[in-house]
Amino acid sequence: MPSGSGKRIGVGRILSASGLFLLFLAPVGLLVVQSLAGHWPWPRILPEQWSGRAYGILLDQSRPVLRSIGTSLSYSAAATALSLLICLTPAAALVRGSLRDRTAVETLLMAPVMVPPITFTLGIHHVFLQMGLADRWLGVVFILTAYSYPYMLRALMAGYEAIGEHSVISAANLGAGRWRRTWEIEIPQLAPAVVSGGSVVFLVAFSDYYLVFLVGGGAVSGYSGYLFPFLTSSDRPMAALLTLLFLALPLLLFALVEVTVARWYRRRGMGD
Amino acid sequence: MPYGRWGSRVRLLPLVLPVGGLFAAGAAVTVIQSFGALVPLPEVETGTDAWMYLFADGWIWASVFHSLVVAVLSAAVSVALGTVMAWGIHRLPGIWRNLAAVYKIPLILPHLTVAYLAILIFGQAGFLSAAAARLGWVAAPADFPNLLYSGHGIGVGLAYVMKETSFVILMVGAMLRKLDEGLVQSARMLGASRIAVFRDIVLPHVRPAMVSSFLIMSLYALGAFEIPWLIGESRPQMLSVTAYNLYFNHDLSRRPEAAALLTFLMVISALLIYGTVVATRRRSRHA
Repeated sequence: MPSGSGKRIGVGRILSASGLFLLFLAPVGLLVVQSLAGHWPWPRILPEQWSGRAYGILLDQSRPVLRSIGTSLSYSAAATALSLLICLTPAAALVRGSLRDRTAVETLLMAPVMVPPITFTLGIHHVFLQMGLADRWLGVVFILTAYSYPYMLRALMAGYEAIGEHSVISAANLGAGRWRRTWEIEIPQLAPAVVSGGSVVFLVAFSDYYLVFLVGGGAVSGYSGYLFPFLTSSDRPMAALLTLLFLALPLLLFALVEVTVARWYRRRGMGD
Repeated sequence: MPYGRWGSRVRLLPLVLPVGGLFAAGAAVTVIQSFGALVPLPEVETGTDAWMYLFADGWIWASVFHSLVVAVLSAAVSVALGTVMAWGIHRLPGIWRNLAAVYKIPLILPHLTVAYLAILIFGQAGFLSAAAARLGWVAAPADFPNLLYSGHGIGVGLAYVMKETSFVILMVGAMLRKLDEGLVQSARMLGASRIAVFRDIVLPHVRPAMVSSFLIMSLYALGAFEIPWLIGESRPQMLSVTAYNLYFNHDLSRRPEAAALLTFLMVISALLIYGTVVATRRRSRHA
């Protein structure tokens, strides 16, 4: 059988697929085992004693943990919303506009994700200190946005390219005004791009440690800041458990977004 | 409906503040500080003193070389692994391909936690070390090769490969969805081997995704802070950590040196971006 048609699947392919799953699932398995480890002397493959101590501590500390997660969620969501707000019209202009040097403008606008962040964020921190934005929630949101908006821009540009101009022009010819065109044609078709761009921006902000640490100082500290001391400590079960939580939270959130978007489409009568 | 020139420019305005006021201003402050200005101390090196002082020292060049090697090698290994895996996943039938979404796990894991995983897996008392002991290869943790603090950046490189391979699978996988399946089938029917199909049809098709992910990842690894901060060695050191320590840990008078180092990092990145863009353009012209 030619490859890709896949009616019959060879043993070799199943084996390599299983190897792949193992490769990516094994670290998660290791984290689960580590989080439940009581006494785990080298060179045992599995712990000698199992213990739920880390889980007990997590329940005990649920208040500070939840507070740090809440802070992370709030600045990540704000950075995502702000990115969307500032990228919407530039993405349209880059795709449909008649800019003479589109490539140069695009390269400049993408620069914050290409140039290593440490080269310009220490300077931004200096500026924020003067402006009183350091150690403030707003400063954290600004610096996260300045670093991650290009992912939103890219996604929205792809979205505008996918819409094509035909449906917008037809709507205009049929008498739809600017707002109706935007609201009934562009926004619904742009939604997948907003979701994918938003997911990346959110993820980048949510998992960031360095920028939040730099600008937030001790005053604004999210979940990554809560986790960090555990990663360098000798309490491996606790570090493993908090890492698992770091994996679970975005997954949960993305599932939630997927369900919400699907429902939104159905309500607008666009099928599934 | 295409916008006019002014309509396009007005629509770009929302990005002026983040790009001009934050990104460009931040970069400018760094460059200016490297010449001794804008530093909250009167008696610091001025002019090109910081540059002279910094680069007269031999160890900084060792760190520059170290950072470049770690960045380029980890990106190259990730691209090679990720491309092969993406093709493997692409050829899986439906249900299996859905299951293969587990490859996205490292995309969600923050860099910090990947560094922690590297300690658990590759550390001298880690999982691989224990497995090696079980097989009778090593008798004590110290016998296991010191991957994390070898002085060759192996631990940092491994952590980047763990994190970035998934990104390559994502980028290359998206490109593979646009591959004409007919090409592959006809090549196979005409007797091309699987390897020939991969080399002569798949690779040329996904090359743009490979090049851009290589660029993005080598730049990222060159300047990223979190992984080398947690598991990096100190001599030679990744430049981002050196710069950070010079900027904050030492007395303020060394800040111009940190800024000079960061400016240098900016220049290397710009050269890398420029080089890749030129190389891709030349290749596409010849193709």
